[in-house]
Amino acid sequence: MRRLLRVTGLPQLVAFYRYIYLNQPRLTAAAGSALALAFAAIHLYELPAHYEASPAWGVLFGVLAAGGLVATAGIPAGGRPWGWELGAALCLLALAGYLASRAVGLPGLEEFRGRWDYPLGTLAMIVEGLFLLGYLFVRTGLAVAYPERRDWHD
Amino acid sequence: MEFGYPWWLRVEHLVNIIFMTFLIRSGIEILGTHPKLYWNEHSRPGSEWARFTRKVMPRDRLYDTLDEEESYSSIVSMPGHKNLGLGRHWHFFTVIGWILAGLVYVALLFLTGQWRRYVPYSWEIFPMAYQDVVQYLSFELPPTLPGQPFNAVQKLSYGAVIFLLAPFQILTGAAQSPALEARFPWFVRMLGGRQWARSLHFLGLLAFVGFIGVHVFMVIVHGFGQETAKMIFGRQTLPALSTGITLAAAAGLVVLHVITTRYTLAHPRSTQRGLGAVVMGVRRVLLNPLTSRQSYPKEAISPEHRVNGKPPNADFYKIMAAHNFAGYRLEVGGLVERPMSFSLEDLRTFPTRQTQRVLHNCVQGWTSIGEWTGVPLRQIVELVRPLPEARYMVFLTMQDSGRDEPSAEGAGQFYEVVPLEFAHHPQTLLAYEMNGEPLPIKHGAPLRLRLETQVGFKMAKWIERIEFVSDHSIIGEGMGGWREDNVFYDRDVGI
Amino acid sequence: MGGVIYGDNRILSGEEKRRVLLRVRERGFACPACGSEGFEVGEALPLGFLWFGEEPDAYMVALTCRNPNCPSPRTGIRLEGSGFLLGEDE
Repeated sequence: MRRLLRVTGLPQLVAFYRYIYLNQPRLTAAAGSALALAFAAIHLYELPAHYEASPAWGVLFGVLAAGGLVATAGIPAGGRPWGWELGAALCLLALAGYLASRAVGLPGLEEFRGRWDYPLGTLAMIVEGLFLLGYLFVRTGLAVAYPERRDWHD
Repeated sequence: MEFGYPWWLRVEHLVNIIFMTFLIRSGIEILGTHPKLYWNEHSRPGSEWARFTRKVMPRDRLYDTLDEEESYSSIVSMPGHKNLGLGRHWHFFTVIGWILAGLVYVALLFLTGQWRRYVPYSWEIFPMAYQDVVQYLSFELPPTLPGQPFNAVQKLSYGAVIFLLAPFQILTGAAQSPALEARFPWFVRMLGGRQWARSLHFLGLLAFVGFIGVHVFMVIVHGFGQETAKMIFGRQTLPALSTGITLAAAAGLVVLHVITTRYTLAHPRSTQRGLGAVVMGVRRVLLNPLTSRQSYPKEAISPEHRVNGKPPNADFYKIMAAHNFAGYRLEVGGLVERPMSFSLEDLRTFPTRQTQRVLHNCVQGWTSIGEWTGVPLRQIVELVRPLPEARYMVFLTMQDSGRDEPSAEGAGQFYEVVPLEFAHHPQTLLAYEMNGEPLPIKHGAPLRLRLETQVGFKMAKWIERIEFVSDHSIIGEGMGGWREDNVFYDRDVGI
Repeated sequence: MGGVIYGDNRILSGEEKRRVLLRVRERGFACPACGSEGFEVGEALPLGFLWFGEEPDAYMVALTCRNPNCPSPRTGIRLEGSGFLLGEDE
């Protein structure tokens, strides 16, 4: 098993990753907040069209937009990283939903099946991907986000 | 005009790939020697905004920046395995080639009118670039600008890399040269300071690596065979052959890196001599004549000046230190008319007492600002009167690196050779005080050299003797100092 | 030396100097240059922080041989701080 793992290069990649530490808490939190805000804005913009398709989708987009706003405020505020966790959960949900709607189609949104040529959708995927990457950095300790601080003694 | 892909542009592209990959790997080697980045000139321990190390330093012991050094794999760094000296040779050697190739390239761009392919000449390019981005996000390929080889986004990206990012990287790199900083302090201030320059240089590296990644990805998206054919044959033809040639060239590049890295690790001395000959020639012309004109305000002094190197671990030194160096004598001899010997009292009561507040540049990349007081070296030189054949000064110290410095590779008395011309620089000082106090032991008590246009390792600490010589090739390994002999550093280190 | 005292050194009080002389006698320390056993005590240099091979509480205490004919009167003795230091002013 270990040898198999080594062939993939994964352990080396993890070891490389563990050598990187960032101490830019404000910048990290600001980037997280900005991405969550962009996420909220995109879903707010998409709300009316999806409401027309089905009120249930409209409500979901409303929840995504509102949740994005809460995460935007929560990331720099809380002592615990719940803002990041909320944002990551929403991004994961939205990303999975988008991919499902384009790849296999979703009830009420059948017309979107195969419609990958939608710039705002691609932008949303990029935003969500970056947010999830940021969450990974914060979660694994590569970066710290305000209000937390890294205290290196040396 | 017909843009196309002229032969010189294709050759430059190839040459550029070779230089860039060597610059990136050797740059990471240099970063690894002090794997921490700061936004403050003091490089204050714990204040780094990024670090690339897992080492934790002790609280109850003196540690120096040699202990903080990281050893990276050769896969990411050139040559890898904690070889700052050899990494520097490669970095400086390839940067000379890269800059020369870049100058030729830019000159040809303007002489042939090809600059128009990269430089926007209408504001309309921005709305067009927006349209292109929207199209990329729709997973479609935007059309090229009418009569031009690129679309608006490509034109802006290539233009920015050539005319903004490359000069940015050259400027932030040059700003890390102590000789340039000492002569033109305003230049470094313009960039926000020496550690800003180092951090920005790192961000420039990330930008280059990011550009290369996106560039290669987009070549694949646009059609690998078609696109690479433009860089091989100058037009879209024979995509299968182009793909084959490109992959073979990529393999060749890897082989080139493997061979040079292996050679460097196996033959460090000949690498040092070979690359050093080129680099040293350029430095002698460009950097050695620069003299220091620094005067930082008192408020700028670092609360904690970092150190590299550990004090002599010998009882004679400890006893002398406990006696406040009362028995110390500095011997000055060799090729001089009047060999002399000075006590600390002699030096302290010298007619000239010079104080300077300057930026200290370690070869590893960290800096601190300190105030140093002492005797200008040129006055000692005037007293002992070197013979006409004297060309170098050898600073012999009480430090024995094998005994005193477990993190150092190599052994023997620490010494450094300095060209005699540096003695006449106005801020070359034999310092006995730091920040208004007697020189602390860790900073070289009782006497150290201050050579403000050079990196720190040339500024010998714990000096016991200065010897004037005509040639240094029979001293040690003959390379011009302990670090040059043992860890393959370069002799004149204005950068 | 005009009374310059280095910041690395610790200035000893009269009582601390007496304790040092006590330790010197206990150990039977004699001047390496002339063999004399009379010393003047100077400053104490903490060794533990600056040198990796030293015990954390080790000091090099400056001793000056009282023999006026001593060829090399400046010597020193390595002592544990707890053996001669009073109070905590570190």
